[in-house]
Amino acid sequence: MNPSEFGQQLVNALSLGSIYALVAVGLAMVFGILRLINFAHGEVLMLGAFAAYYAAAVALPFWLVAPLAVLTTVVVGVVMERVAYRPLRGAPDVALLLTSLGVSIALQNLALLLFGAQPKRFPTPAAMSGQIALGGGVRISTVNLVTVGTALALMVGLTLFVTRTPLGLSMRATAENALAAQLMGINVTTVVVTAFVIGSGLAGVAGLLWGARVGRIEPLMGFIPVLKAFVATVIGGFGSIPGAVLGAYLLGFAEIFLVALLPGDLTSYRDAFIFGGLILILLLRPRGILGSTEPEKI
Amino acid sequence: MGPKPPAAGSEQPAPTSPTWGEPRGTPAATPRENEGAPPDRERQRTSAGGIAVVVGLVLLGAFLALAEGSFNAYRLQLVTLVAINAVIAVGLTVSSGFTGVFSLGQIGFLAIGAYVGALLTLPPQWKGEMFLPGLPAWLAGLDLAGWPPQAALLLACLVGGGIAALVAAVVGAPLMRLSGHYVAVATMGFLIIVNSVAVNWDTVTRGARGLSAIPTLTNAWVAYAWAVLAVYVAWRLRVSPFGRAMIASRENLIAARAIGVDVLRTRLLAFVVGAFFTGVAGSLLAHQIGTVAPSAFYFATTFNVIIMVVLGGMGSITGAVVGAAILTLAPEYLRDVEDGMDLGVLSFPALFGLSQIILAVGFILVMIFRPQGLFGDRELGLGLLSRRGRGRRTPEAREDITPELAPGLGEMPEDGAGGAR
Repeated sequence: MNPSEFGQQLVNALSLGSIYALVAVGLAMVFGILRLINFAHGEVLMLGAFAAYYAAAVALPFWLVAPLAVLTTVVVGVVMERVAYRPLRGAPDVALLLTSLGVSIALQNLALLLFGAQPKRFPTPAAMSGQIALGGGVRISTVNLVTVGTALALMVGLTLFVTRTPLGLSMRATAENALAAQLMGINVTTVVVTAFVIGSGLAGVAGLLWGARVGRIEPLMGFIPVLKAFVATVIGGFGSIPGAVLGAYLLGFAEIFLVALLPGDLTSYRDAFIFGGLILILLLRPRGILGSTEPEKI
Repeated sequence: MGPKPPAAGSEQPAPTSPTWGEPRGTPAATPRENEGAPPDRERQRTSAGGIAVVVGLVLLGAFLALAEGSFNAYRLQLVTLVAINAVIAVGLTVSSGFTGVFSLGQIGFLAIGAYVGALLTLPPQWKGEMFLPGLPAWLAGLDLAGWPPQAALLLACLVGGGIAALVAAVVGAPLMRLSGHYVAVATMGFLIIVNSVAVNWDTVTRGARGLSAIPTLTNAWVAYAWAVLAVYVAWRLRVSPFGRAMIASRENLIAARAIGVDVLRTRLLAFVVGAFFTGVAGSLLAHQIGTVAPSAFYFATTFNVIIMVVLGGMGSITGAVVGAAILTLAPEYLRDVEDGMDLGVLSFPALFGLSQIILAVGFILVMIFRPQGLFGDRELGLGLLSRRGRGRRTPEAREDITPELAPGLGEMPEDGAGGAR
């Protein structure tokens, strides 16, 4: 791999990691508070992308399309929490997990019903579809640049939110110990809804960026990003937000460089390697890199 | 997971016996094994149960003979599919329902059984036609055409199930150490790996196109024979010391270990037995449809099997069978809805995917309003004669637990995942 190729792959990995990070943060947040692995998070992302598609189809400018898409995902997330997860609060972990699988399947098929199985071309704005030449023969696409920039800005904002605002502090307190937080007068329901609002909003942004990256969208598109984000949260430690971000970037790098470095006939086994790695991490270091949750080991 | 158990019983240490065999106070304490039950009543119960089993089997045979004679091919296939799905659901009940170790990777074993079985019975000329250079020479040249068809199918099922069980033993040995979410995620990783191999190992699995022209050897009789065997084995396991250890480790990990249950070995046994039957079902399925493709063994199927087991009641063998029957037959009726309806005044257009939505929403409603499913942990197996399990704790079993003997027992937390946090 020559240096310019390396630079190209580096940007690519950063960009992929950024999208995973945006998805993973929502997963980690909800997991930290509810101990729920929300499989339906990927469908939130998908619905965001479709909202953008239909908003653009009625000729709205992109600066309106993007907020509309994010607003849609926020509403979806909040409704999902209210309808499917709130009635199950306090139920066994696995019941929550299975319910989220049910929500995921229901939303996927609803999308198939409403939007059709045929992939649609994502309305990437013209300003995002070019390439920028850097020195040394490295060319990076604008999409990657926008992706990394957006993700970084949102991560900084999120960090400020969880460390500086009362609501952010309540979220962390609830994740630490829900009962104690409640005894201290924190309204857990508010915290849970906030987590869904933020997580779903970030998933909406991720849906837009994923659509722009891949170029087309379809009802099952949420599955892969959520699986990967999921691996990221495991790498970083279930429930840890910084861990999820770190895990997401590590995964982005692992994926891009596995493909670049593996011998040709093994590259298609990329996912097998990634999930094999996931199992290894679960076995060897179930807390992940930055996780604080107790390992569930016998 | 599973329904919240009554706190008593699950924590009751077996007071004297060093082994697990004594049913005193163990959660699965059934009226039959209960020491308090008078012996003659027990004998009556056993013989009544035996009669019920015989009657049930005769009725099943009569139904199958009738179905074979009068059903069209499609409906007969559906009847067969009920049995195959029942085998899968019972497999999942054993490996997850009994132990509470929730596996999302069960369908990986279904895939293994299907591919292994298919490669055994595929005629050599077809293996050549489909170009599978990765096959070892003996397998590529293996020709079971000379065998009686049912013997070939039996071999395919046994080897398919056996290899699935072997893989389960290897994979499970490390994975069964995990609990709760972690094991769900890890087994899901296993499923993705199996799928990835099936899609990419072109020279053996023919990739995404899958294998076709598999001889269709499965008939209703064989499928039901396996289903009966699966139910029987699961039931024997459930009432055996191993089964009690499984339930105990599900209900309270720490208490189970405290009385000497080897949790890892117990879980592994359940995982391997479940994988064996799921592998067998895979082979049956391959020889029913005649084709095997990776897409058939992924999340959609996983979810369907989970619905079967959860709807029936995690941990209930009866529930698994009933759940399998409902989930196999219901989509057939829902398909009419999907194809559109004309009710005179109202007419609905064809809605593709609606049946899946209905199933998924139904599943969520079950999780919210009846998480224990139809049967919870109970069995209605032997014709209502011997209702067993916690649902109906007999007075004798209750008397085992007296406050004087086990102080503080009543105050113990009812946390099913107690040790798993």
